[in-house]
Amino acid sequence: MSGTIKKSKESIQAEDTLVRRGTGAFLEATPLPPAENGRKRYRVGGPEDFPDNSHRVVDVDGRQLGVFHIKGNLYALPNICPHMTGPVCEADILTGSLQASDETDWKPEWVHDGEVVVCPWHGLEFHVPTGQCLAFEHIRIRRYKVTREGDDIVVEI
Amino acid sequence: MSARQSRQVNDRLRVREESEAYFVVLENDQDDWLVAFGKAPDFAAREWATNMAESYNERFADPRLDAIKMTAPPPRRG
Repeated sequence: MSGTIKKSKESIQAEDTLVRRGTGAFLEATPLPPAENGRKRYRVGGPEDFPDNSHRVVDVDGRQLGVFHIKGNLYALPNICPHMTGPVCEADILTGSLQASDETDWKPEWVHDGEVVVCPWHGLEFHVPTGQCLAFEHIRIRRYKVTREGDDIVVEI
Repeated sequence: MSARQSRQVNDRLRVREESEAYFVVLENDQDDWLVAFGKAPDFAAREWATNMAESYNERFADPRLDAIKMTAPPPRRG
């Protein structure tokens, strides 16, 4: 039995837990006419590519963005962790986080359920709707504007 | 839509200082920022930003594709 446990521990890799298995190849966005404010716009897919409570990484003009559909809202973040530049948006699942403060008498509470992405490399957590790092209040990832326009999911950079 | 191998960001990174924060930006478009590290007395914002830019630039310069693949393991340090 102990041999089985030892073997299991040895075989657990990051790729087996949080990182999506894959080749590192992602869908490539297609350019659209620019927005009135001059910002570049790209079609990153259709609604069928982003079912509710899902996310995927898309290559958008030389950068990878994680595009998230959470509780009916669309979000996009750069696929790079502020810590060691890991592929933060490649985490396989969206989760929540435990939070404790003097307001709860330091009892842990489960917060942001289904809204947190965890970097597969070292586990830093980010609240997707705000880009806020949950461990360090002064770190914030950029958020890109994402909209649904008919059959197109459009990101503005 | 096609799929292809790509880098997380196809540019080197650098740090831009503003009054409220240090921003990690694209070297060739410094208005194009990725992460903000807010200045605060109890937070080493400049060090965090510098570490992020240097870490990515080190990987960016690595000719091995594995160094930039999304499924690559974390780089060894020290």
